[in-house]
Amino acid sequence: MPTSDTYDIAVIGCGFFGMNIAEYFALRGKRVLLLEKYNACMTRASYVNQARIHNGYHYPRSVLTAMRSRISFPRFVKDFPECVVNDFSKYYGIGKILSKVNARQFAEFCNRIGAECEEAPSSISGIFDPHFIEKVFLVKEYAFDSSVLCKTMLSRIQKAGVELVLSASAERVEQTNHGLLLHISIKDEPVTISASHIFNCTYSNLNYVNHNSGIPLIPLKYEMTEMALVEVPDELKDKAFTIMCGPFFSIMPFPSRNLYTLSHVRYTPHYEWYDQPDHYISPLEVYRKDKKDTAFPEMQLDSSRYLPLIRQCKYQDSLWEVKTLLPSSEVDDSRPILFKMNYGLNGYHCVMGGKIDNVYDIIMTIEQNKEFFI
Amino acid sequence: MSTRKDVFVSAVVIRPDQEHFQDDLTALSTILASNYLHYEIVVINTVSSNGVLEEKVDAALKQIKHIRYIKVFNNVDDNILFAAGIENTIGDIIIATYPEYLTEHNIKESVDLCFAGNDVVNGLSETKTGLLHKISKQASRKILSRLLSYNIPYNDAFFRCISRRALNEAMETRHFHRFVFIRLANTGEKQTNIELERLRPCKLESRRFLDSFSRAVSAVIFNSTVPLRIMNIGALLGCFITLLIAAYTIAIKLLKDKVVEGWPTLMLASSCLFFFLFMILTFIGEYLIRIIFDNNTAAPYHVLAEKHSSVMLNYNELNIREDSVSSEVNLTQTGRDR
Repeated sequence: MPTSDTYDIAVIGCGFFGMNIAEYFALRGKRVLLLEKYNACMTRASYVNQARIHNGYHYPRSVLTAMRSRISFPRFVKDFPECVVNDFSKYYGIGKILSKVNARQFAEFCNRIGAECEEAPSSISGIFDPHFIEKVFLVKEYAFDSSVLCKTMLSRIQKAGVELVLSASAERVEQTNHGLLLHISIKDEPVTISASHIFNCTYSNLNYVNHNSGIPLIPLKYEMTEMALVEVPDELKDKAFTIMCGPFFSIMPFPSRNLYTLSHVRYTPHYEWYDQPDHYISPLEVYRKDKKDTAFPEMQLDSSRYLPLIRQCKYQDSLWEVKTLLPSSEVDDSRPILFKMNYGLNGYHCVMGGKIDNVYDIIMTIEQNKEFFI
Repeated sequence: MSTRKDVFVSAVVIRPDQEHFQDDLTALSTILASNYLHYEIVVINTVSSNGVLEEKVDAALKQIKHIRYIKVFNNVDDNILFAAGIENTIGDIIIATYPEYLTEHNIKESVDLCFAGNDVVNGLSETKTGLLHKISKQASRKILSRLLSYNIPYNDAFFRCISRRALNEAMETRHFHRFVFIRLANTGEKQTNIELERLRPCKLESRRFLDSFSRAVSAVIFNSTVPLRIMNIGALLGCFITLLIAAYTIAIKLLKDKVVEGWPTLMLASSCLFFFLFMILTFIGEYLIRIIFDNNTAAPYHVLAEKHSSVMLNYNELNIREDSVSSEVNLTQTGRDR
């Protein structure tokens, strides 16, 4: 239960973004309450991803997303060394057919953003089918162990003095003459606290509080996604591959489960939907009701056309998540952070970020806004 | 909130004007920076041209952001420079032209047309030219339209605004560098035209009949076998006529005692045969040139050097958006399934 009913800052959502924002304000002397719906932190989108520490390579059609990843990469590696996993080699292959960039454009793009990129040795490019792959590059990209990252962040927010309450579901926000009231349900018990600023960092559940509070829904796109967890053959161990730039795939170590994730642009999203202004569909409800039939056979069949060794991967499990995207990102597959300050109510802010290592951008944006420190 | 279009525009300046180099690039940079969130300027030139002085280039690279200067070895044709320039861009929308056509109106209107779904925007401009050149250009454009489906108006200028997907399609084709305009016109994507403004008269656009004629002939030979087929039919016809003449000669010889008066007939027949013979040889020669080109594995151009601005990226811009949807839709987008 919250120890008080009045806070300077309330952060809804104990994912990586929520924890960083909470820590930021606590270190600056603010009284911060951090709420998490589940009984553990970083269990959803912050955990269900390919655990990739982006270095820009993944976004050749969005220079800004690529560049910010490139800039954030060394900082993230320096800030969280204990969770960085870099005992593997990372390769990017450029598709021949269906690719939206060619090898020359990719190399030029890497050169432009200052990302290391050299042609892979023939022992690596030789394992691909040359009919489908134009060229393979050796790049510098790491993975992170999300369970270690979670422990690190928990330790940091505790040191900073953030008050964390688990199993607490934020239901709605209300504006009063004295500020904002946040109505919470903690193990079915209603609790109300007041705060000068409330940050909604609930990712796919962003519109849940908006809907309950009578605030217009933010137009968002949702995808029910699956990432297969696999065991790889010896020839693929200590290596990771991403094929660019179109309906291709990526296979990478997933340190927190000691397995590899196989993600496919075409088969990872099982279906999609958009928020409708007059009809809110709860992504959590969709997630809960989904049958979760794996598309691993399709992923494997298609991926093995490019990299035949994938036929020898053994399926172990799948990670499921409702991925949330901005409709504006459909054009270029960019991944900007959505930050809507004072959205619907003064002091109520919505944050939706898709890239863990880009968290520094939202911190910098908050830093630039004096109203948080009045 | 920024009113600049959220798109990456590449502006390719071909054979920059030495006299106006700094002003042109400064103005271009201002236009792009005011209208688009992301941009680059690619300046492409040959070593052997009376082009830009190195000092002016170095000064511009220090003062103006987002420029790449590519120097190409050998005095290559402007079409190849054009192809090389657009090939080296990374933008979503690419404008390539001589510096005289890089006005705000031309840039904004062509990018807007691209946004509206036109993958190739052709620039049109009336230039003062001789009557012979005008007639030959109109005639050759009609032939190209018939044979190669090249339906661009005859007064097209050296200006194209292209979407990334149209460029990538064109780059996959044979002889992309040599026939870049034909390849772009034949991508199958939606096209449109705009009337261009000029900063000043364009010195580089050729108004010579011979240039126009030789380009048209080269385009037909490299991209169509119709002339060869016509010549084959002509050759067959020639053979048939030869047979007729031979038959006629034999008939005269059999039927008449004196054949001296056959001299004009002999001369006429010889002239016809030689005419066909040389016509066939000309086209066979052109096709032989094509075979030689096809077997030539040398690169169409070679980059001698590339320099770029001291500042190529805006490191201060954060990847934060206030809105989840865009007010404008780019209909030449290259999203996941488009």
